[in-house]
Amino acid sequence: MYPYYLLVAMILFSIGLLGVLLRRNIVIVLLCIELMLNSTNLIFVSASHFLSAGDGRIFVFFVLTVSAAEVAVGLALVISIFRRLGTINMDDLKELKW
Amino acid sequence: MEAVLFTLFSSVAIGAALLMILQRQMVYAVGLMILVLISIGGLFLVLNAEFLFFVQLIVYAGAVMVFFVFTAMMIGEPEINVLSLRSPQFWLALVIVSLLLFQLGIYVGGIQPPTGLPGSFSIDVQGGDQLSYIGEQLFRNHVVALQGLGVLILVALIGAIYISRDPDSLEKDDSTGTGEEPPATEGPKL
Repeated sequence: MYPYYLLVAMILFSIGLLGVLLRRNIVIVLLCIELMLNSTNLIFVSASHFLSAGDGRIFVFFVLTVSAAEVAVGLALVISIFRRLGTINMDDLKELKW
Repeated sequence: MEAVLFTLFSSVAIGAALLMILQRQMVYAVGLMILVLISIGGLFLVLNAEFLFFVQLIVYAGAVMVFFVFTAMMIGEPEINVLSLRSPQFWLALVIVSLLLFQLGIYVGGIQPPTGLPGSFSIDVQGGDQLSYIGEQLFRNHVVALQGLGVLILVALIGAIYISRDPDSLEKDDSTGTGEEPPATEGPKL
């Protein structure tokens, strides 16, 4: 049963990675990064269950909180970018200084 | 029963994730992501992690996704072409991701199934349930990381407020605020 959980987490991670590589919208890219983080949370919890260790759940707690903080700052940056440049298409954001 | 629940939750999660990366509207993508999160929370529940199921629903599906919805409402313009099939990037990304899946699949296929009963990790804690176990572990063995997490959240809060402030609606703040005289604009008259 344990390899099946890992397989599901792998597939979710790959779907998130596809979304990060192929989408041009910054908000969707951040959403797919969240999907990748969730798939690693699934790996941690399934390892904690099948290998009889409680440490996986502690780490999931930390990953959850760090990803919430990262989303806060990332979306604040996206809003600031949208106010300055009027676009959230990543193809238009090619320069470091505007 | 566990296999049925696992199949149900994992198929919903994978299907919703596949649909999510193909959405044109941001709010639809966030809604499908909420479905993915609830399915992964269901998988947590099947794996006997009730506390993490609750935390996932409250924090991820309840706070982080609402964040995304706020941003999508503020921005609100859909993407012109979601995935263009003719760009070389598309095929390169597919090749890379399939290579990754292949390598991970080889690794996962070679894993020895763990011996022993799953889910029977010994909790030597007074309460004996999961919440007290996690609380005790956090405050005994991982205190520094927990406090660091608090600082991280504080920094993220201040940073998010500062970064997303609207510069046009703020007053000009070149005064020192204590009622000093404005600096003299002319030099001494000759």
